[in-house]
This record gives sequence, C-alpha cells and structure tokens, in this order.
Amino acid sequence: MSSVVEQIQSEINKLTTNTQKSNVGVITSLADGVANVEGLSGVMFNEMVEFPNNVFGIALNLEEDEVGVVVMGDMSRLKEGDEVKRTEKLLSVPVGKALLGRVTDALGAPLDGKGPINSEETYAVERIAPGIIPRKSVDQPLQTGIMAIDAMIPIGRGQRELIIGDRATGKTTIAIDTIINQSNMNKQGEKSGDPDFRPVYSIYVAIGQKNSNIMRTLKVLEAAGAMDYTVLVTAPAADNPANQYLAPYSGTAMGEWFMENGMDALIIYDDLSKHAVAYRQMSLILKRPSGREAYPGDVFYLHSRLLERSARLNQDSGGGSLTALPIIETQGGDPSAYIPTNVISITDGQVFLDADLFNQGVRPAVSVGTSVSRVGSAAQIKAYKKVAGKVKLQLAQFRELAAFSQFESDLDAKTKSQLETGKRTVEIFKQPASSPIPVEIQTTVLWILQNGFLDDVDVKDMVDATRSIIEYFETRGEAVAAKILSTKSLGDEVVAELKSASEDWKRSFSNS
Amino acid sequence: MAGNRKQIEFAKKLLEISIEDGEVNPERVSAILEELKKNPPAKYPKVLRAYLKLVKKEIKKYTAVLEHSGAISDKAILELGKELFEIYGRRIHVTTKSSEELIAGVRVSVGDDVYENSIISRMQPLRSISL
Repeated sequence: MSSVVEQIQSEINKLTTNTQKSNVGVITSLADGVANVEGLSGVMFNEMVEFPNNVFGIALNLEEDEVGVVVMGDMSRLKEGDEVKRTEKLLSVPVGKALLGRVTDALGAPLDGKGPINSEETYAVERIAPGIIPRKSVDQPLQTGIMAIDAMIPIGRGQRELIIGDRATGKTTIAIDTIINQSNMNKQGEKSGDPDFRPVYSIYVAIGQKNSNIMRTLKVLEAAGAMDYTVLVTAPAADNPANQYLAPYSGTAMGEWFMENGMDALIIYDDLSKHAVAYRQMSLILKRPSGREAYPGDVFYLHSRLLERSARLNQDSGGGSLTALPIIETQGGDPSAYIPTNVISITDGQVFLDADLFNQGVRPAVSVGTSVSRVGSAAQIKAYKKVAGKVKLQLAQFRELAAFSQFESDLDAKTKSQLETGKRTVEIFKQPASSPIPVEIQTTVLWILQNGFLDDVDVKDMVDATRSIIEYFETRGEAVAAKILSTKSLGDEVVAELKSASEDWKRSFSNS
Repeated sequence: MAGNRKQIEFAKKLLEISIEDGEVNPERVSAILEELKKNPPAKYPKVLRAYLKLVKKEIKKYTAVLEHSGAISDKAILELGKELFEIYGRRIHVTTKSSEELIAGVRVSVGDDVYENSIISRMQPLRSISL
C-alpha cells in the first residue's frame, strides 16, 4: 500500500518540480566601474548580468578565462567573491507612448517622481539598423522653426543632421527650439483635424551634462508645453560611464518604436563628444587597446551603428521615420578633430555654429559656408523652396564680400547692393531662443525680403521689421499665412493676397 | 595580464598532458610536478599558480556539488549522476555538502551551471520586490 502512495507521490513530485538553472560566475576583481568575473561561460555579448543586492551590469568583454562586466549601479555594494548570474536577456528599455512627458535614466527607469511607466513593450537597446529594402528617400520636411536652418540647411524626416560648434554657441538651443516647434506644429495639426497630419514625437538624450543644465532644459520644454510630445533620457555627468554610453542607444530604441509603428520621431543626442569620452573611459578600464586620442579602435562604429538606426521607412514598412540631430562640441572651432570628422562623415549634413558670429550677436550663429544639408532640400515645401532657393548663395557671397565692406566707398554699385542685401538677410535670420517661427510665416518674411519691401528699412531696424512681419501674419494676415500652409505653394492667387497684405503691413510699419 | 601570457600558455599545455579519459589524472599531475621541480621553468611560481587555476577549473567541469538541506538518499545521488550524464555527455562525480541556508531543497553546481530547487531560491523574487 505504502509503495503505491510513494509511486503516486513521486509522479506528483516530477510534475511540480521547479528547478531553476542558472549560469554563474564569481567576481575576481572590481575597480573603476568594471568587474572581472570568472565563470559565466555561456554569457552573451551585451547581456545583462545580475550581481547581489539588485545591482546589474553588462557583459562587454568576453575573454577566454573571464568576462569584463561594466557595473551599472552602486559598486560599493559589491565585493570580490560575490556571485554573478546570467539573466539571459539583452539590455532592454520600455518603449511606447507611455514614455511621452517622462524623464528617464539610461535604462528607461523614471526619474521624475510621476510613478512607474506603464509601458507594455520593451525594445533591446542594441538593435540592427533598418536595411536597404525597407528604406525610402527623405521627402517630408522636418521644420526646426529656425529660419536660418529651414531656409538654407533644410532637414527632412529620417535625416541625420549634425549640429556642431564650440561650447556656448547655441547648439542645445537649436535642438530645444526644434523640439518646441514640433510640439507647436503637433498641437496645431491636431487642432486642425487634418487626417493626413503626422505628428513628430521628440526624444532628447542628455549625455554627460550637468544636472542643472538638464533641469533648465526640462523647465524650458515644460514652459513651452512641449513635454506632452517629448521623452527626456538622461545620463548626467555624475552617472557612471556605462550609463552615459548606453543612453543614446536607449533613446534610439524608444524612437524606433515610433518609427516602426508608422509614426515620425525626432531624436537629439546632446552630445556625442561626451558619449565618445564616456566610451573611451570605459574601454580604457576594460583594457581594450587604444588608438588615436586614446579612443578605442571601434569608436567610429560606436557612432555609425547608432546613427544608422535613424531612417525613413517606405510604406510597406509602415512609412515611419526617425530623424537624428546629434550634437558635437568642437575645440577652438576645429571640425577636423577625430570625433567631429567621424560624425560629419556619418551624417547627412551639418549645421556649423561659429563662435565669432555668436559673439557678433548673430544668433543662431549658423556659418552658411560650412553648413550643408545633403538630402533635406528634397523635403522642402514648394512655396518655401521658391523664396529660399537663392538665399544660401546670396548669404555665402555676402560673407566673402563682407571682408571688403570697409572699403565700401570704392566698391561698384553691384557689390554695394550685394552687401546691402546681405546685411539685411543676416538681420532677418536673427532669432531669439525658444521662439520658433512657423514655416508659413517664414515664407512670408522671405517673400517680403525678396520682393523689395524691406529695401528702404535701415539695417539696424531689420530685427524690429521682422518681428513686426511675424506679428502681422500671426494676426491680421493670418488668412494668407494659412493659405500658404494649406496649398504649400505660391500660386498667383496666393501671391496677389500676399502682396496686398505686405503693402498693408508696410503702411502700418512705416507709420509706427 | 599580458606579462603572464607565456606562463598561462605553458600551464595550458601542462593541463593538456594532465588529462586522461576526460579527467585530470592525479598520477600524471604528480609526475608533472616532479619534473617541474627538477627543471623549473622561468617564473615558476606564476606557472604553478596558473596550472592550479586551470586544474581546479577542469575538475569543476566534471564534479557536481550537491548542496542539500535535510537528508538525501544514496539512490537520489545515483539518479542525479545519471541525469547529469544525460545533460553533459560525460561522467560527473557527485559530492555532497549539507547547507542549512537552503532551508529546504537542493542546489547542484556543475562548473558555472547551478541547478536549484530550494526554498531560498523561491524566496529570491520576493526579496527583489521588497528591495
């Protein structure tokens, strides 16, 4: 009888056995954010491993006898001899619309005190960029709201446009203004009820920045009401290099969700110079061989595999896009250093910000001659292309001629006229921070400039005149601006209305 | 580490000749140690340390440590040996060790692999949540 009971009991035991298999290792040394682990024979590259006390790390160096793990938490809670377990999971972050309005760390954990992120999906941080077949050429504009960029260095959805310049030349301001402009356009588009409207969601990745700067950025975005469409991924200077290394990849995974679900997203990496520095630090402590400027040999691949993930997908793949605006800080205005040249060669163009222009009061300090957009002009709307077509050339010529402006009295009439137009154009493109201009208003401003309405306005009054034009077309001339936006072209009827409105503005401006 | 490379390579060769039928042969190890004592190689202590590390690692590969809380029958140990042979395709020596920290259940370690069915492992998820 008892043997029968034992037999049944044994069958039950077989069914309810819940043996857990794990692959483990032991910490043999621990220093500078890196743990060397003996064991973990089955670990994958980039796999998350679990230390005691809820501390995690990523396996980055897979050697014959040991594994180099970068610790992503409090190292003081670990000691030599501690057991390390495989998780069999590649590093993943939450993705989806639940992230909008949130501030997260490099692993997608909330930092804003607004509770957990209710995301149903996660994406691996490291993913393969879309191949050739699902891609499509850039053909839709992504307006930054900054006239100097939209007119001369237009950006399209799915493009990678580098923002490069010395410290304190307004790189972050351009990025933030672009986010604010997307938010303004999203609100306008949703209000219009246009079924074809495609909102752009933004992801701002702050790498190695001071916490106070991140806070300031957050406040600016909140004040502009842009956080409803924005995710902030932060790995501040106080964070360990592993988090700073991972943050851009995490942000990209979040952006890819929008792209792969047929939506448009914009990602800002602020900045990739600090990202390269964090990677260099990590590589050196992992004892990887160093190359030029002590960067490891794969520092190009670090950025190329990141930026290749931004793309415009064709309709068969959902038609989404991910536009990237990486930021690089130069030293002494030299774009020929190692990291800047790498990123310049990866991206589809660059907006170069000149410290001299910035100090002269030309803000945004876009250097026209050295800035370029390789694919964006295909995405400009017709009306805008018509008025902005020649501006870049005119302004570049002006910059060359500007050197002769001190001999103005000896110059011929044509050169003098070019200098005058150039001075006016420079003034027109001056724009305060956090005040992006909608594309239809930009079109009117440039049309008015090109059609001689501003020829008799003093150069020193040009900024006031521009402000006045913007105000006019946002109020009394709103109907004309709306027509430009809806038709996206400058037909005879629109031009006639624009001319009449411009004359009206000119009268009111002259009287003021 | 790079400076030890030659000693590690030499220790690996010593390990290779220490193995017979997939296991470290104690007689061969004794012979190797005798020979090394007579003709010590450069950086002899380093070679010995590297050799020890490799031998320990190799032995770990075919030795299962069965930690248990409470009594365990000889039959169960035999069954475990058979089961491990199925998994690893080689003979695995089972050694036992009493471990009260498991509260109840067993933990089997073979090389880097750990198989665990104990109260303490089941309580682990609860601990993570509470942290």
